[in-house]
Amino acid sequence: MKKGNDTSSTALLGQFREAFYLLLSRAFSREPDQEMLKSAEQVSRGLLDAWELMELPSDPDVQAGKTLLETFFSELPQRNADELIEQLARQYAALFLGVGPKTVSLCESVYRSKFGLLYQSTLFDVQQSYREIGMAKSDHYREPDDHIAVELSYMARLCNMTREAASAGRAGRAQALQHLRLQQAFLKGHLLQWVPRFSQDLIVTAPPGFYRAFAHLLKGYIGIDGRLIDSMIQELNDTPRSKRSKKKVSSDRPATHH
Amino acid sequence: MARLTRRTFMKMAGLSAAALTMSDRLLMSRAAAQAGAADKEEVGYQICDACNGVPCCGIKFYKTGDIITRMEPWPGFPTATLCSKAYATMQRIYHPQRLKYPMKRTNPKGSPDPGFVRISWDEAYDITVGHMKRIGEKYGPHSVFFYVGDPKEPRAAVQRLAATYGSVNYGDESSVACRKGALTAEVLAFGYGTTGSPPNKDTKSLLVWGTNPPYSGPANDWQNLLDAKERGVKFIVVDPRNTPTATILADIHLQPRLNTTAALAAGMMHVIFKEGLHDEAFCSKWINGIDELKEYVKAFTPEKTEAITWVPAKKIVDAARLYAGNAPGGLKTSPQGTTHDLNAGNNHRAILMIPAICGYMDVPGGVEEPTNPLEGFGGGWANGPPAFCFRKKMDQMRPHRLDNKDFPAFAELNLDVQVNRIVEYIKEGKVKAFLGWGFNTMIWPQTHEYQKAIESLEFSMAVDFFFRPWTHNYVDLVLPGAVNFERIAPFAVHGRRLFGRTPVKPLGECREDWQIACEIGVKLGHPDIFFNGSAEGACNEILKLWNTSYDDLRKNQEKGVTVPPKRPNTYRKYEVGMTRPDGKPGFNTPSGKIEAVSLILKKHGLTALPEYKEGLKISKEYPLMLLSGGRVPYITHSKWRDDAPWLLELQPQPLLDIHPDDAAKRGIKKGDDLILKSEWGQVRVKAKPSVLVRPGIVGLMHGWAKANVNELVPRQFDPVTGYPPYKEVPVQVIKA
Repeated sequence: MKKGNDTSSTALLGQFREAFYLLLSRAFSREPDQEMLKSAEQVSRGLLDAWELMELPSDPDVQAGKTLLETFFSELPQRNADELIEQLARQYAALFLGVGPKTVSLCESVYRSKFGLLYQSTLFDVQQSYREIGMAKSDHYREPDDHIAVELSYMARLCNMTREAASAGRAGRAQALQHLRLQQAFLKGHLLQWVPRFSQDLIVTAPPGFYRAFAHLLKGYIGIDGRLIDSMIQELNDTPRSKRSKKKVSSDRPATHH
Repeated sequence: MARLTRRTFMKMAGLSAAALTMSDRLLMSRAAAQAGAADKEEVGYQICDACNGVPCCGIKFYKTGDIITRMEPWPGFPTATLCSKAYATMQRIYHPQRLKYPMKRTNPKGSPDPGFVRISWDEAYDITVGHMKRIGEKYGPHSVFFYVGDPKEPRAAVQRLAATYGSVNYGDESSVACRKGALTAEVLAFGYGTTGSPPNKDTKSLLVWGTNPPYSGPANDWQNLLDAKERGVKFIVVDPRNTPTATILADIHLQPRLNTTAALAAGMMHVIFKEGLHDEAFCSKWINGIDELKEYVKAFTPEKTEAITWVPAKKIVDAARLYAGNAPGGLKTSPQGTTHDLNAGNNHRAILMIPAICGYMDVPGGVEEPTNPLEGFGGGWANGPPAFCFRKKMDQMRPHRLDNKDFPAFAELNLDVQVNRIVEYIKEGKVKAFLGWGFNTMIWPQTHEYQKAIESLEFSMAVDFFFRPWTHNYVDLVLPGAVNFERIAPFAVHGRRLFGRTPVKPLGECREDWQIACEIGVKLGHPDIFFNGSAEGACNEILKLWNTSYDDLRKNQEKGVTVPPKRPNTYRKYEVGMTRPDGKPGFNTPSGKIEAVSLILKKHGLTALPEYKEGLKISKEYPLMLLSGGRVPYITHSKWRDDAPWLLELQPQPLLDIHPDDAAKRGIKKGDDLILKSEWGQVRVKAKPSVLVRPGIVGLMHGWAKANVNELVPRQFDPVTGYPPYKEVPVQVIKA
């Protein structure tokens, strides 16, 4: 199978999942700009359509997020673009940057440490996960390593690496499986440990609109992604043993910028 | 689980690419991120800012990368018995609500929601400097007010900025409510500031007035007092509250009614003079106005003093005899606790006269003064080194001080402007912009008036660790300050020992106060004066005074650098010309003596003797007196509330200390919801019946946003210090 022309379900799901993680990551990494909104509209519509086309299980949070986003994007043409961007920046600041009545932290440590603080031990675990695939948080991004946007970015990166490995044919299959297992481990060990609570906090705190929509989507998506990973693992495992690569999986393969 | 069709594939085509364009590239390959193996644990050194320039206890911390994992006392550091406040700084640095980016309001002032959004530092500085230049040109530079609240660390840098910009109008929380009131009284009386000296082997008695070190001082300070007690030092503790200092240390505890300090001091001096227990030789040679003082206190018989102060006459006599009869006696006063009433300046001056008439000034074991203060330091970070802060230029600009007319004695003696009438100065158009580091509107009586005044300015900016709505809802810009672990400036100074700090990288885009001040200076067009924005460069400019540098401090990180003293310790330095800058014998006052009759106050038409003056009076409607600002160990300051929830656990909500008798009269039980009200305002609090307060007095800690006690305090001010009556407001308490 040629790279870039892979129509297997693993490849397609990989694409779908990577795009979903990238979308969610950008939703929370910083305030939106015009370009981001344009891409977010296109990508979210595409992904949610694909969700139905792929007949993925319906999920009340995904549905709620979809409805909120449809409303949000349908109102865009009537809105002054600059004003909208400023309004979203105000919402981002009020929700996440400590200037609103209630701050929702975007970082895992806050949800998982005894005293609800930033930069606690889970951050070191997350760093270790990044390190294992030859990555580190960019110094340009001034938020902690266990910020939701970075963690989602890690998952997107692994999706990409999985696709690349899988598209390399038999030789890359073991490596693809390894990448999927890392995703499963990170999902279970990190994202599922705090994102449901974080999303719920955000759903309750954010006004109806962009951030509440993405809180629902994040919560719904994280809830289902484990099954998507399992199905990809299963498909790779179902490939006749004789066709599988026996090559040992290396976890320190050279990584490219993401 | 996913059903895949050709249609799905078509739908997905291009989505990946579109999604990828959205990526912020938050992860990089480790080579590009310059990251090696997992970070190893390293040590670092910092100081705690919970109690500010003094005592700045030393912290040794452990970090992995830039993440602090644990901390312990800095071995060998002069003050390093870390208390809960120091440990709570670790909770503060990693608090999820830390302000990490510059924020700009987008909704007009007066809107219910200021609509803050994140901006870049460049934009923040462009806005700030743009307004400074415009306002300076239009109204003159003195219309820009520079202010440092808490921590006090940035004072020197902000003073340098104010002087360079050309505004004499610099003020701080000390000139609102804290140290400068008592300091003014001390300088009026002695010519220098002192809150006394630690008792030592020569000390035989100690007069502790209005301070409670186990609740509000460094741990080693309290230990020092306990050691003195063991050595047999006699303690006279004056405090309206029944504090641990009183119950553990006091041989005699005097519990005066609020704002009767000068009467009680006069009553004690009456006994001392009458019984000939004073040092006549010292008095006649070194006290200006000693005859007037003797004459004044004649009226304060123990009986009359009891009637005014509620302190039993016998206790007044016993206290006077114990102190004057056990020479030498030391002194320990609060930096501010005795100055929160409408007779603040004279009340505090009256206290200072007691050790003076006993001849305890600068004798071994008495009220000692250091022989070798650090040259050029000018009283420490509370004021900033004069040369660094361009004190000469500030002095030349004194005619433009806003407080000259309202508080002339304060204005003459202090660098910092008395800020309490800034509401009027803003209304009169004298102040157009306000640049505040760590400022808190709740410090002021009738807080809402200051909020409105700040809101009405053409421009205002605040630097802080957190967004605090009661202050920041009224300003244009809020800039994120680096906390203690993230600062290099200022370095720590203990006597003649200097210690450097090893900062970790600040969270988000936080910057330290000194850096912000320096960078504004650079943007104003003075890169050389502001060391190209470098806080370390600014420190080095000061360290040059003692022929050392930050590099030297780093080389001697744990033990610090000692600046050798120039002469051996001596006493009675006023006799040999070591107290006055002109080298003549005497005290650094206009008369050259300790001034019972203050020539400065006289010149300004103020009461020259430290006379008692009745302040706000209780009435049938408001029969209790409010003592605000009393503390709980170890919360200490209004700054410690939600910043450090560990400390908040010590007192999670506003509790009103009320004597059990006063509570019983009103049917109040522990935990009851109460309304505490004065003629000027009211707050809701919970009842805490307690013998900590005497009958007739209720106590509430300040700094609660949901129960701001200062809304009960009137905007009336002592004419000497300009301080409001935080500790003498008539109030009533009723069940809510």
